[in-house]
Amino acid sequence: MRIRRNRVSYPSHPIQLESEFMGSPNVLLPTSHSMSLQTYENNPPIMDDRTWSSMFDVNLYLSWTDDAEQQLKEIRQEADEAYTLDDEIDPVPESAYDDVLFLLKAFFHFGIPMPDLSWAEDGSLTLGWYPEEGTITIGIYGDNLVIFTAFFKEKRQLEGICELSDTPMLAGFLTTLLNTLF
Amino acid sequence: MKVSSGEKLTRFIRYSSHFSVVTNRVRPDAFLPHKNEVNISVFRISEITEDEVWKIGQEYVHTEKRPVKARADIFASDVYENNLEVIPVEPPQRHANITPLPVDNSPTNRKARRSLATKLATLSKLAIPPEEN
Repeated sequence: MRIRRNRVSYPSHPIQLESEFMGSPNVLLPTSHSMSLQTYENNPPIMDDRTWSSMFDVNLYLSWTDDAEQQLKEIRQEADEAYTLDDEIDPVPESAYDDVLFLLKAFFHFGIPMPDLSWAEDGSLTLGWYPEEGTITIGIYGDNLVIFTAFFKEKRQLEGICELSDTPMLAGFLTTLLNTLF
Repeated sequence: MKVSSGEKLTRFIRYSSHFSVVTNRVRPDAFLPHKNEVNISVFRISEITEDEVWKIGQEYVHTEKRPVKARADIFASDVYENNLEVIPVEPPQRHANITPLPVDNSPTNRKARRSLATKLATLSKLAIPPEEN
């Protein structure tokens, strides 16, 4: 599974998929990454345009995942504190954090901008985009479901549920999300 | 007895991640109570001053460990347009419930709850306590 193009600029047309995508969310960061960096110390690579571009992508990806993990850490802290003080609040399951991180990595590959992250008393995490005219959110409960809702002030709305593990449906859903955002 | 559609309501917010000062927006999480709860607690704030509104929050919602950090103001008409009711439930004075949210017992109901929360958050206006401004 892999996506044809990686970018952080926002395309105005649907992204083309070669086949499946979600099975290899670390397509930009293979497991041999750290070994390659060690090798560079003794054998510096030839820095042609392609190499620069690749390193740029890796740095962007690392920056993206750092940002995502930091946001999740802050959300987790507030949610945990709230749960400690009020046992009526439903705890956010660990699997919800894992699912959100997985989705955020997928967003990077699809060119979907980083959402705002938040938590709710029903034990969910929310990934949200807040354009002036509306709200677009994804709700994650750690049960393999992705709940999508979008509402705009002119009363236009979109809703849907898909399974995180249903790769073709999720790819279609992310394309819909991208089209809704832009 | 229902609350009239012209009345202004407020939902006090106690968690930083339920709103954003940067975007000046209320997030849907502010309108998502725990799973078995079908009511969203609000206060009726028409015809009282801002100071009096914040005083209600201090008196009935604020605690030392969970202070009121913001509020989401929304008109009852926006609630009714989404097929929800606003029912006065006193005491405390001016308290009401937006109801009924579907019980969170299936993916479909969960989606419906999130959809309502998203609409209410989008239609509400963020207010920050004076000392936070």
